[in-house]
Amino acid sequence: MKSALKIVAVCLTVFLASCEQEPTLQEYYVDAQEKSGIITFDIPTSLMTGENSNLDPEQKRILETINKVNVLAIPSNEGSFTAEKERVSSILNDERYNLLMKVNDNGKQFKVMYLGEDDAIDEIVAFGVDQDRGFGLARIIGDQMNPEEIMKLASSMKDGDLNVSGVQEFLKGIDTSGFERKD
Amino acid sequence: MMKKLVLIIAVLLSTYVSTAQNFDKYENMKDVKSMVVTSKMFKLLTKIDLDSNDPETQQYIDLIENLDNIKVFATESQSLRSQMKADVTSYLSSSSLDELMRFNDDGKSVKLYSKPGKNSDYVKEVFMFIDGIEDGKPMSVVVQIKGDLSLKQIGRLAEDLNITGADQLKKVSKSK
Repeated sequence: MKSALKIVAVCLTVFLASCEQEPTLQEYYVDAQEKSGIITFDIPTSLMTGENSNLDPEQKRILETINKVNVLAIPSNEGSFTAEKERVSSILNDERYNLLMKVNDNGKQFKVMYLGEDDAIDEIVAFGVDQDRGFGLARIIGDQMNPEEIMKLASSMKDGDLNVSGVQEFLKGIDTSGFERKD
Repeated sequence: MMKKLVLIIAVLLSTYVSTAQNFDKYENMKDVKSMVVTSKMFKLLTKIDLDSNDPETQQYIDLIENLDNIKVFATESQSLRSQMKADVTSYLSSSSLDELMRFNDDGKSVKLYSKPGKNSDYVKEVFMFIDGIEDGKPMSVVVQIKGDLSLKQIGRLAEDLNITGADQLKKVSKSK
């Protein structure tokens, strides 16, 4: 009888241990910066709040709740593609990531998640996989971002209030040639 | 006593393992197009998108706020289509679903079911199975909408959703 109890105890320990905290996406991102074959970049939102942006203080405050956007990508012809894809997938399976939606279409997958509360979001994560081309992970990292306010701000971007030329210059410098489809 | 304990734990563990729902296995399959939208997404949408001054819009917001999730699975593969059909049959027999309507639409057979909700105007789930020819190709589609749903508002939701089967779904409200 005692041994039965022991077996149960062992099973439970294993079960609980398997639920232990996985590495965070931030840790993964930091590690990935060191690896070859992985493209990573940060876009600080301060690029947009420079002096030449015609933002009123309220708009500026909203924009400042977004700290940065960081992007990570691996082309599928990279040897580590499958392993890295699995690593990211398993991190994102953590229940702290609130799933917004996911789409799967013949080998292409896309999902969007967030961390935090629905009116105070700390991080929005978009993850897309295309078996033929590669995968990409985009994170919008902020501090209690309010989706309602950010949408308002996004509509003001169309009015040309926001000077994004700094970001455009920045994006030009990134080499994306690895992602072109090779037919 | 000890045996009971072991049994209880075994049962608890097995329910943990088998919580995967009927159609979720299609989510990541090759040759299946799937889409899952969660309640969190709908909550965000109501915050962002809608102006609630108009009472009709308010009803619509209520519907969206009470949505749990929408799942769509579509496949053109012959073997997956027959598997899907078998799963639909077993799902319908294992759950307390009422048939809402069925019709043929342009080479497709469309069947709609619902799970009874808090009163006759509300349902807990709308389930749709489409089987037939879509755009000249054989196709099977499962659409599952869960939440606290007013059948009258489902049609409007269908208009706003850009999903396979949205056209067929509109007919639910017309029948009411």
